[in-house]
Amino acid sequence: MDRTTGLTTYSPAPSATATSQALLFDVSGAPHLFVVNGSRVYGLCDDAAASTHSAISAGGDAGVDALLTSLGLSAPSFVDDAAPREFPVRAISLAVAQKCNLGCTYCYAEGGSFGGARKNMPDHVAAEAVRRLIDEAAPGERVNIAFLGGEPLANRATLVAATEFAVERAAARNVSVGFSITTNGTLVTPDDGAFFERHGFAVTVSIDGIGESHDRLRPFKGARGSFKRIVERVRPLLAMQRRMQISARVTVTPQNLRLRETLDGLIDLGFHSVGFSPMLSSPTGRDQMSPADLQEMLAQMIDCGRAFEAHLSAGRRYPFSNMTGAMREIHKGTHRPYPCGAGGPYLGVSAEGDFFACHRFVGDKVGAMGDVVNGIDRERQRDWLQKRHVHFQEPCSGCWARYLCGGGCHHEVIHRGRPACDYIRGWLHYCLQAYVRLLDARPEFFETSRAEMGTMAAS
Amino acid sequence: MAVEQKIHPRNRTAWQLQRTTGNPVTTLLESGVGNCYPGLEMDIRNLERRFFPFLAVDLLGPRAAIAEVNIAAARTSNTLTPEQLATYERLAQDTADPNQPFWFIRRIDGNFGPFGPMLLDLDTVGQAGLPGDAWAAVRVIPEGDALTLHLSLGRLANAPTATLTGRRQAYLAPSGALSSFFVPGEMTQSLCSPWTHDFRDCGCHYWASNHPDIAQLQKPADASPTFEGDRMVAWQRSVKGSFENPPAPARADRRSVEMAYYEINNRWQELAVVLDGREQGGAYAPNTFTATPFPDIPALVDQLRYAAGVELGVMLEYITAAFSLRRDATGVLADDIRAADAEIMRIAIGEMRHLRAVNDVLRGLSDRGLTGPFEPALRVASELPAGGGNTRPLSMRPLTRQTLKDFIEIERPSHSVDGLYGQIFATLQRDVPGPLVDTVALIMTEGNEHFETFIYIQDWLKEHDESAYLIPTQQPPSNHQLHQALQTRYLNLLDLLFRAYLAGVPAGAALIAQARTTMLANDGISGACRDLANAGFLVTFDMPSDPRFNPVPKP
Repeated sequence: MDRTTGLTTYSPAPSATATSQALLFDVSGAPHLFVVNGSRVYGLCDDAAASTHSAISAGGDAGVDALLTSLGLSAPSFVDDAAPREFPVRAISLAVAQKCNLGCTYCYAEGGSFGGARKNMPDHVAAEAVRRLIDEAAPGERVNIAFLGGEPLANRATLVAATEFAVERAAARNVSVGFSITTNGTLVTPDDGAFFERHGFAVTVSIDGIGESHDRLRPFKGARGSFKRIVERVRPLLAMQRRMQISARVTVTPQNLRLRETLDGLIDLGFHSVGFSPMLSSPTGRDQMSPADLQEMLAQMIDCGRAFEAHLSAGRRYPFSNMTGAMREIHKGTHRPYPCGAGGPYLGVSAEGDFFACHRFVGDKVGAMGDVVNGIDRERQRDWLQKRHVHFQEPCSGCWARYLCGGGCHHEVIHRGRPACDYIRGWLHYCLQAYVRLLDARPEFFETSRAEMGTMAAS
Repeated sequence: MAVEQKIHPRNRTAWQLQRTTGNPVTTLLESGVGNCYPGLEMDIRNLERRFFPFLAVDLLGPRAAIAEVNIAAARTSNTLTPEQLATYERLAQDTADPNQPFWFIRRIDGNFGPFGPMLLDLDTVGQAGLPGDAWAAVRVIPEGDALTLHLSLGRLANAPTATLTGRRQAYLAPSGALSSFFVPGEMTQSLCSPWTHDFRDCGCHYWASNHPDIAQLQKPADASPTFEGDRMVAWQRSVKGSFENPPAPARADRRSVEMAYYEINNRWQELAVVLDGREQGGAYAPNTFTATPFPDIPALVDQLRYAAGVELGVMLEYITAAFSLRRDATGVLADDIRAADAEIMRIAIGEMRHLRAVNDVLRGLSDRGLTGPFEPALRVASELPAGGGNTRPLSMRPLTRQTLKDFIEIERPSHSVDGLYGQIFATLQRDVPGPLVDTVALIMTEGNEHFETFIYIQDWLKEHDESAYLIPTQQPPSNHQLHQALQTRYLNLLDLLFRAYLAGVPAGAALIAQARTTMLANDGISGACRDLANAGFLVTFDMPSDPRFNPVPKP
């Protein structure tokens, strides 16, 4: 039993039930097989389950290969070793303000300035980055522009100018453009709300709990709590949501592990969705999650997942975005050699106009990828894509979860390694079970479109 | 009958790889008749239905019957005289009355384009110098020309008559769109549609493969695995019958036992679903495919080379058998021999195509870098499959009953591990998914059809003595001139094929064409075979000494 929640801690699947090619798992007594190649999910009869169990227990690829062939499940590789030679960039983030009014304990940007001087992105840099993004897209394609910082609303003028320039340029070139912003919520105004609504922004507010638990982690630079201020500022926007969607993103540290309470509290506030991610790598090491903390987080996540299952089975909406995302991806059979688009179709742009693999790498030479004036450094990009391919990551190449996880956040892996693999496998194992249960209980949930998935109405 | 389901795909990628038994592609929308025969998206004859103001006329053969009168439009029109309107009113009233006969157009006074102006009696259409039928007559009348229609209520001699004058209507509105007097659905209303009798009468000979003319009866539940079914019966038969109480075999005049048009429109749901040529009832259990793939590509290549040798070998056996049939029979015997001969030669040609297909697969493997350079496979198999994993030596013999049994055995569909192509298919599916798999699947499907055809041949010939349908033949002396001529031409043909396959397509296309001519020409293979048979000798092929064509053993 766990010290804070009373939940039984989750133990990962015994190794006998998984190899690098397959995971045998159980859903309320019914055996199921997850085939890594193609992220395929199958229900098994008892005979097939018995032969699967012995093949997997015996270990060795040849035995599992033969098993998959005998079950008629062998297939050509869905993911090969070759990294894409070149990726057209379809999304950028603009660090419009490398400064912040909060002093979060764990911030990767070290108070918003990425360890350097506080600065704003000049308008012309933002415009050049946007121009490059839109001009390189073909008519009819979609691109995305994310505003990040620091706190992007600390440089509202550039944000507005870049958005309006993008709308105009995209319309002229028949490119469709989407916008998003990640903000701490303390500076947002009703006018910002109207602006975001007009342009259909996806707004993510970083918020780590309700009241005090948030304030401990995300205080103003003078140490005063920020929760009350955020709620004051964000509440009017929540009421304005039509085209824009306002989500809450919770960074989980050892200080705020009571996830269910946070989830329900933020849903009650009116957020369109709420998601969690663990703090694995902070510049000072402060508030990083230890293996025991991750074990606790997993139990909490599963608790939230169970609530999601219960609500959904009863036909009620429950916008726990980690679950909606996982259900969607498992249903599709997502199989990807990378965890995200960083360094490929997605790049981060620093205030000076340099390209980086993503917003987290801003100012970090490891992820440098050229600049907006001279363009993307294709050689560095190719090198990045080749090296970051999950087939060349260890211990990923032997892990059954590799094509669902993609190898983990590049920034965290490069700076701290992979402390969270058991957590990720445990979570995905639970999600596979939940998927099968929900597929039986609410098959229509999986037939609804992606947009509807988050907003399945109470009926 | 339910198939044992061991594995249940759950998410999309799992489903995507699932091979299920279901409706054939011919039932897909994109397989619709209009896509096979462009122009059949609509029935252009319907454009003539509204050739005359306010009338819809059904034109069929010499008949032109008033189907509908748009009396509302006639009443609001300002172009009609009171007398004309009165005629329309009368036509409308009678047409709406189910107890009245149709009003028919009997004669049209007008300009019939290339046939010139005349008073055309529709009973005379089809005669020399006149339009072929009522529709053709109306079709050639120029738009806007003045017409007079002479009508009668029914077609009896003393029937009431009426006359209408007006102008030939245009199909199109001034905007270029179809004129608004056509109603939705009118252009397609007479097209063929599945599950109705129409395809039986289709002038395009379009007939979906899952709506066959004839089919085998539903297999009894307790049938043995080697159950061959029985003869074909008319699929649309009126009296269904059962396996215990079977309907008569299908005959060329099967229309006499089939449902009539009206009947089929009411009973179409009784028609059985046909899969694999057989009527199905209950759940369909497909043949389960159980072959284990070969461990590696070299083993696959060995089997492919052997398979090519088997195709070549059976082709030689079939040709020998076909040329052992009598050509001078009469009556029913002559018909049965002619049918058997034609079918055996068709199958032999099928094997030649398979030989080519196997070579294409070998070339495909080489092109993908999975083997060394491609070398054509044209070596005859010394041992042929004989069922149950056994083999028998290649043997060119007259078409005796035993020979026919062997032919049936070699073509028997075998989706099991010992099938010639089963393991090839499974290996390609695993290692080289794509077009090569489809090529092999096609060979397997055609083998199935060959099997059925040999069963028919057996059926046709079983009523006759062997001595009645076979010519007395003897083995030719190996140095006989006619035999030697055949061997020379055969070797020449193999050489042409070798060079053609090696060059590939398109470079080898001319050589392929030349090889085909060599097969069929009087001074080629065909002629040499006929000469030998006419001289009372068995048509046989020696094993060439050229190392490229040495016999290939079973791997």
